[in-house]
Amino acid sequence: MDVFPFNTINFLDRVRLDKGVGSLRSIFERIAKTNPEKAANLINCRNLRFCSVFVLQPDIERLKLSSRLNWRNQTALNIVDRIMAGDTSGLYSFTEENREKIYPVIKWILETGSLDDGLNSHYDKVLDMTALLLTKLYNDKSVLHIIAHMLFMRYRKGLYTYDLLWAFFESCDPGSLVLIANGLLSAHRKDVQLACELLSFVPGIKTYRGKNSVKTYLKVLNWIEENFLFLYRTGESFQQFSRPMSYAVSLEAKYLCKTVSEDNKKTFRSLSENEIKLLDRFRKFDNQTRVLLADYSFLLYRQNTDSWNTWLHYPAEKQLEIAKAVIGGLS
Amino acid sequence: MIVIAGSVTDINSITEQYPQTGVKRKILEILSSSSEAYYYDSHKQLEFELSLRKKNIDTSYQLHKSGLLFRTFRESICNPYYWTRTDEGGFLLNRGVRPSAAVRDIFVNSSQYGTECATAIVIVYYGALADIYAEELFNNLFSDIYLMDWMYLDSDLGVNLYRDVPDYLPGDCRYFKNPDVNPLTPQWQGENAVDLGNGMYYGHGIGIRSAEQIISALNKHRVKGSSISAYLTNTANRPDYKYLANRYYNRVYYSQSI
Repeated sequence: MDVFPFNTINFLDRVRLDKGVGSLRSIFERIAKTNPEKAANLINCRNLRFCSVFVLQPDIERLKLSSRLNWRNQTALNIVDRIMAGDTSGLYSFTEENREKIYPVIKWILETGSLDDGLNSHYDKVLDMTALLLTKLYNDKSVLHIIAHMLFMRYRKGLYTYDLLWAFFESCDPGSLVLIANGLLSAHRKDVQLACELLSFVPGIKTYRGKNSVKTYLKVLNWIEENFLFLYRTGESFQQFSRPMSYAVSLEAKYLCKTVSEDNKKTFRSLSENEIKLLDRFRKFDNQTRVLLADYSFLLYRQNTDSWNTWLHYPAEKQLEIAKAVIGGLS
Repeated sequence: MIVIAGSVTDINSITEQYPQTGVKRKILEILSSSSEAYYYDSHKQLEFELSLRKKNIDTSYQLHKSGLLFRTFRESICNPYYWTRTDEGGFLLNRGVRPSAAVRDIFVNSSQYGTECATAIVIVYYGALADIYAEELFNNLFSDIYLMDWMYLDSDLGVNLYRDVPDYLPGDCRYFKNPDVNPLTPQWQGENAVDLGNGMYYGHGIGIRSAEQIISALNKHRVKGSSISAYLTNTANRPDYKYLANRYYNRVYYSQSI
């Protein structure tokens, strides 16, 4: 039974936020001892945050309230127990087997739990694991803004970001780079620093030097916009290198003006014989020339597709000559 | 092809000073037989790279035998006398301790340390340099070590990732990627491993194994039913050998020969 409307703060959350976890636990115990049904109703309420359930877990067990918990809370605590026991393969199987049913619970844990991120390392681990499940198993991109926010907050405090970073980039969503770029506009130095680190693969982005972050922000947005259709996830991570190239532009796709899949550099549509020939020729150029041709090709495509089609079928030397004349010579 | 001070070098003039089956000889042979030109300012610079690569390999064996534990960053541990464990799981060098002594302690009191594979490689790099450099040089150059993953590397190590390199060399750090890893065990998303030059690799947490064995070990941590295997990527992590050589030779007080 819902005691409170969804959009108001729950009584238990209010006690925890105003008076601390210790007070919450003692008040909850008092209620549970005098009126177990009321205690169960409070904790089963729709608008309760995950954090309160997490901190009350030992009391729920000790006061034998587990059987009174609703399915959401029982499932959430089941997930917590598996994570704390290190039963990752069991948790993964459990989630896969109950995929649709469990999804709202996992999302509730992250959505409401993130509001209290940093409570302690066990709690943060639960949030990290749910973030990984949502991005990797459910391919849920709607939580990326939450993960990005947690990343910046943790980085400011020097807390553990390793798994969240991986969860974020494994979503294979080039659009999510905007969430990182937003950090460049922050008044907090560490936000700007993190954004620069994570976007170091964007041409022209250098290590944070404390100035021109608005200019950098606009540069990143322009780059994302221009290359959005051709960006793919490389799979590189911080486990592999200090400045991973998390996303890269498929120059071949940009040259042919064909969109690529976000998780690999393959184009969505199969290539015609003529396009294969064009690419064979394109691949023979050095990287700098390929960048020039790809950039010019897409520029022309956006201006006039007829002109682009004509240009694309010119001999290589003529293509290059025109591209150089418009965009500039190779240095 | 090896080019020293602008001239293509006759490999025979160099190789005879190295044992035929030694790792330095093997590196030289790969460099000289390559279609790629490898440029050095001097013989000494080349010799330094050979020595440091060999030392990276020796140090890998040493670290493997040491009893360093495998722990995720979240559960990493270190000797608090020399290091402070940060909330993100890295080890920050304590003030007032000698960096060289702190690095050596990892090899001595290894059971007090536990971390992931990326940090182990960085420990190998520091451990090798602590042996090669004179103590004063090492301590001056690496006065504020932070051992975490690759994200916080000392710029003086100059570690860089090289993609699609024409030649892989003994002493390179290679990366085995596990694309279909169980998302709840991100520590098995891949393995950093030092190429030991004999077909074997050292990867912390897996041990000294062949490429096939490392792939097989990673495959055990995939999602159930996966048919996508782990694989060796076409990348190599390398410290800046030339910069490190220049720092070494620009100092007059080196105490150990290499």
